[in-house]
Parts: sequence; structure tokens; C-alpha cells
Amino acid sequence: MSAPATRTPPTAEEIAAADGRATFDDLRPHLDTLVARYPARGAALLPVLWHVQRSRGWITPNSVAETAAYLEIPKAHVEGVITFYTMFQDAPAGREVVMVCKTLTCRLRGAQDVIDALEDHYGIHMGDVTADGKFKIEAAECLGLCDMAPCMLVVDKARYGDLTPESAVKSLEERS
Amino acid sequence: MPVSKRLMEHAPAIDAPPQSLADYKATGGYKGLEKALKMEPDAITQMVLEAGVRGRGGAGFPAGRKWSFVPKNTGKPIYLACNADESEPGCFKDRQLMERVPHLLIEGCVMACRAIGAQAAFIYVRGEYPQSIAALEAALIEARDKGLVGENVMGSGWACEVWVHQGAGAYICGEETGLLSSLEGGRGYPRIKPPFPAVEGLWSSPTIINNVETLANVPVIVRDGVEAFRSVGDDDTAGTRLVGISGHVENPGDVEINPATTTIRELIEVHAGGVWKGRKLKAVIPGGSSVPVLPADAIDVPFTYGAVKEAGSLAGAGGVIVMDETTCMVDALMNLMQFYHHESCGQCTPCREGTGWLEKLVTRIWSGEGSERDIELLDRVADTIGGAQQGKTICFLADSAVMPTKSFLKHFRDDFVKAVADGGSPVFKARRDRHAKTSTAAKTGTAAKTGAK
Ligand SMILES: Cc1cc2nc3c(=O)[nH]c(=O)nc-3n(C[C@H](O)[C@H](O)[C@H](O)COP(=O)(O)O)c2cc1C
Ligand code: SF4
Ligand code: FES
Repeated sequence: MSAPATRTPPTAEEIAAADGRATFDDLRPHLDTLVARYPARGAALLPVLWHVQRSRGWITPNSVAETAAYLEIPKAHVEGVITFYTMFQDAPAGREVVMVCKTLTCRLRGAQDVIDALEDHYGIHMGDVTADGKFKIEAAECLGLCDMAPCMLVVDKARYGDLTPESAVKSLEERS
Repeated sequence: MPVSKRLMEHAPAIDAPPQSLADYKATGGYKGLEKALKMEPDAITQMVLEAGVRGRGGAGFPAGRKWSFVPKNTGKPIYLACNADESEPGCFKDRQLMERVPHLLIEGCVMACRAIGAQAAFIYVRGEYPQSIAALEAALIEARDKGLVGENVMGSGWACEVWVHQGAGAYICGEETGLLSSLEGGRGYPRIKPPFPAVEGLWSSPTIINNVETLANVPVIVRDGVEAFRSVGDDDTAGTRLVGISGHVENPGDVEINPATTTIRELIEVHAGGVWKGRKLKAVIPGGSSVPVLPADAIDVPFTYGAVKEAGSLAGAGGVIVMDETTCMVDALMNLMQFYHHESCGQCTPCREGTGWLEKLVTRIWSGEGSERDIELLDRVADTIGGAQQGKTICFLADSAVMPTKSFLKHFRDDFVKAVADGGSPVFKARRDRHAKTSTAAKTGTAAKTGAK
């Protein structure tokens, strides 16, 4: 029940910085192995977007165009897919993305207090990037970690359970 | 009460590394596959049919029957899709299985492929489970290396590939046809049935979709035989079940049970250490958030499909969510309606608009702005938005929102009436009072903007 995140379009520098982390040609060899798994080229879209996002930090406008050309599918289709799935980032997303569960089991065990504590500590709303650029922190639906409720995960890296407001803040502060 | 371990019998501890190929083989692993490779494919399907194992993803459809729908000699390739999207609130059993006994799932996938005539399986794992993916990928490297997956499975000359496919955050991709759309590289839009996926699924080819736990039962069935398999459970629910217990209990976690001899009460009191903090039980959602809620006095029933149904709910995907006496059911329902509204894919108007209405109405009652009429309206809207069975919506997501709503109102109407009379849910009021006290500076001017440095 947090206020919506505040969003501004990415700046030209931010886009250039992300694209500069890896050229699409750098990514191609791995992407070719992904495409080979499927009977249709377009089926590799999700795995390809994951690899692009992991390499560049987020999916830049150029990434969309390059992915569409590479998989021989329309750009609008790539855009549609990126916005459909919550884990694809189409704007700078901090160095790490943190998903804090807000769904029933976690709520029953104090998720709202955890969310409040993180918002207060970082002075943000859920969905924002922290001022130091370290984290994008968002409220998420059930993470499948209900045995660890209340819980959060750092995408691709770590999961934290049995959180208290204090331990949630401390866990993130300890990630440098 | 005895714990009935079968799938997880040799599983390493929760935080230990996944079971290795050597350890899996030492406890009978890949014996089922070895046997299956010597059988006619149809005989494997027949065994699964006779074993009576029903789908563990929620709907409980008999796996053998589903496999028998695959048409023969169409000239098209056949695919297996393993549903490891596990996004139903309250469910985490598939994650445990993949991270602790990954080879069991891989063996099950290869055997299912053999039975249905598929040469490739895709395991669709939700994006939030990188640890599960890592466990499966590592196991697949071992399995390929030892010729258990790949060009020439166990020297039989038959080829079978297993690929792990990572989702990216969308509950609807757990719906079987939404999963297919997603696997093909699209938005996870469910598809109108018929055609059923067994006839026309991935890339218009016959495709069988099964849940992780369903497939994990296949090696056990073939290795130990139908009779041994059916020695646990009853006619209606054959074999063990993996059940997750979470919410207001002392020790949340997973347990493998004999569904015929384990009641919901035992799941809570014996396996999960009872309701936490010495409190009393108020309500239980037994099968994951999409099934009807049960009041505290309705839980002395075994965890079989039939018994839980008779008690007024569904065993569903085996996620038991426990709520203690302090729970405000208006708050709990509001939370669930936020979930379903957020996860509706938007294709069908009754679902897209209806889940929004449900959320809006419960929120109104929650925040003290509701009236008695809103409670009636909530009930009525719930009556009009579901209906996948009647063809009103493409998939069952809307019905999944209706079942909690109707049952919350049926068993816990008092909470709703009270919220209307008292100016809102106690949760709302506590939050409002706290906000009035604490500084709101952090929430107004100082937020970093997305993209700002
Ligand atoms: C909205 C919705 C979400 C679902 N999510 C899952 C899921 O996460 N995992 C799963 O195995 N089945 C899920 N199902 C059930 C699948 O549609 C399908 O019945 C199941 O994967 C078939 O496998 P089984 O017969 O082995 O259970 C979902 C169904 C609906 C309507
Ligand atoms: S019922 Fe809801 S989730 Fe299912 S296809 Fe229709 S809009 Fe999408
Ligand atoms: S409800 Fe939070 S992880 Fe499931």
C-alpha cells in the first residue's frame, strides 16, 4: 500500500553507461547457445532479455532494438514482453534489485513493518532507487519463500527470511 | 504420527547442497528410467494411470489420463513442459524439491518424455528461483555427462533433452497455457481451450504440462511398482503429498505426508509446532490462496482431495496458510485481492475489471469508507466475474479470486460488518494512528527518483 514510485525517463548518460557495459556483439556467442535450444527463434526472448539485463544492468532502448533484430521479431513485441513481466527493468535499477514480499503469509508475519522500515531508512517509496544508487527496492507478490516469511530477495543473489524491520535494514546495509 | 517420506526420503537438509548424482544413484536413482527404457512407452503411461497419481499443481487431474490424450503419428514433434512456476501464495514445495533432489525431477521429466514420445522437456522455473535453476543446471551437467540426458539416453539410442527456462515474474505463467505463451517468448497470456495443449501446445505441437511434484512421482511409480505406490494415500489421493505450512505457526515449513492419515489439524499442530505465540486458530486456507478458507472447526479432515472438498475447500497445490485469532479477515482478503488484481493478465473483461472491483470494495471496507451495501456488492461482484467453466473467462484466475471472497464472506462476515461499523479494519486504524504520530518527512520530499543519481 505504498505510494507509487516516482519515475523520470532515463537520461542520455544513463543509457550510454548501460550500453557501454557490453556491446551486443559481446553477448552474441552466449545468446546463440540459448537460441539453439528452441525450435523457433523468438522463443528465446525471455532468456535473451535476462542475459542482456544481467550484462547491462537494465534493458535500454538500444537493447530492445538489438534484441528485436537479433530474434527477428517486432520491437513492439519485445516492449510488450518487457512491460508484462515484473522482473525486467526498463530503467536504471540500482546495482541490485530487492524484492520485498507483501503477500498474505508475509503480511501475517509483519511484512508491512519491514516495508515501512526500508522506506523510512532509505527515504524512498517502494519501487524507487536509493539515493546512493545501490538498490532498487520494490514490494513484490509472493516470492515462494513463505516458509521464510516475512522475506525479501536480492534478485539473482540472495534471499533473506524471518525478517524484522531491523534485520531487513541491516541485511541490505551489509551488502556493499 | 508417522511422516511418510518417499520423494524426499533421501533429501539433504534444507540448507545443504543439492543431492549429487552419486548420492541419488546410491538410493535407487535412475533405476526407474532404466526400467522404463525397456518398456513400451504406452506401458509407462499405463502404469502412471494405474498408480492414479493426480496433478499436484492444483487441479488434481490424473497424470496418466492426460498423457493418454497425446495424439499418435501426427508427424509433429511432442513436448513436455514442467510447470515450476510455483507462484501460488502459500506454496513453496516445488522449490524445496528442485533445490534438494533435482535429479528426481530430471529423471521424472526424461521418463515422461519417453512415455509420451517427446524428445525435449522444458522446465519453466519462476524468475524468483535462481537457486532452483542453479541446482537443476548443475544436475543436468552431471546427467548429460553420464549419458542420462542427451543424444543417447543410457545407451538406448533414444535422444532426450531437458532445458531449464527462467520466467521473469508473473503469476499467470503458472496457468498451463499462460506458461506455453511465455515459453514461446510472449506475454504470459492464457489461451482458449480447446484445443487442449495435449493436442496443440508449444509451437502448435502436442504438449503435456505437469507440475514438478507430479513428475517427481513418476520414477517412484515405475521403480517400485503400482501397488507399492498405492500403499500410501487412498483411492482418491494416491501417493504422498508435499505440503507447505505457513503463516501464524511456530515452525513454518514443508512436510511430506500420507494424505489419507494426516489431518489439516495435524499438519498445523504436529508438523508446524502449532499456532504461534500460544494463540487460538481462526482460519486456514488449505491449498494455496486460491481455494476457499476454512473456519477453525473444519480442519479435522485428512488431506485428501475428497476429504478437503467435503469440508468445503480444496487441497489444491498443498499450501496451508494459517491465521490466528488476531487476524482481521478484511485485511487478509484485501491483500489477496491486491494480488489477483495485480496478476490478472487483462485479456478478459470480467477478470480484469472484476478483480479491480473486488480490490476496490474490500479496500473501501478496510479503510472505514464502506457500508453494508458494499458487503452485499462484494458478494454480488464475486458472483458475476468468475466462470471459466462456463466460458466467461479464458482461465481460472478470476475464479481463484472469487473462491476466497465468497468463503471469507461466508465464514467471517462479522469481521466485515465490524469494519463497516467501527470505521475500518483494526489494521487500518493502527496504521493511521501510527502515521499521525511519526514524521512523514521521509515519505514526502526526500525520495530519490528512479534514475536520479
Ligand atoms: C492462475 C493459475 C495459476 C497456476 N499456477 C500454477 C503453478 O504455479 N504451478 C503449477 O504447477 N500449476 C499451476 N496452475 C495449474 C496449471 O494450470 C496446470 O493445471 C498444472 O500445471 C498441470 O499440472 P499437473 O496436472 O501435474 O498438476 C495454475 C492454474 C491457474 C488457473
Ligand atoms: S481470466 Fe483473467 S488471468 Fe485468465 S486469461 Fe482472462 S484476464 Fe487473463
Ligand atoms: S507470501 Fe511472502 S513469500 Fe509467499
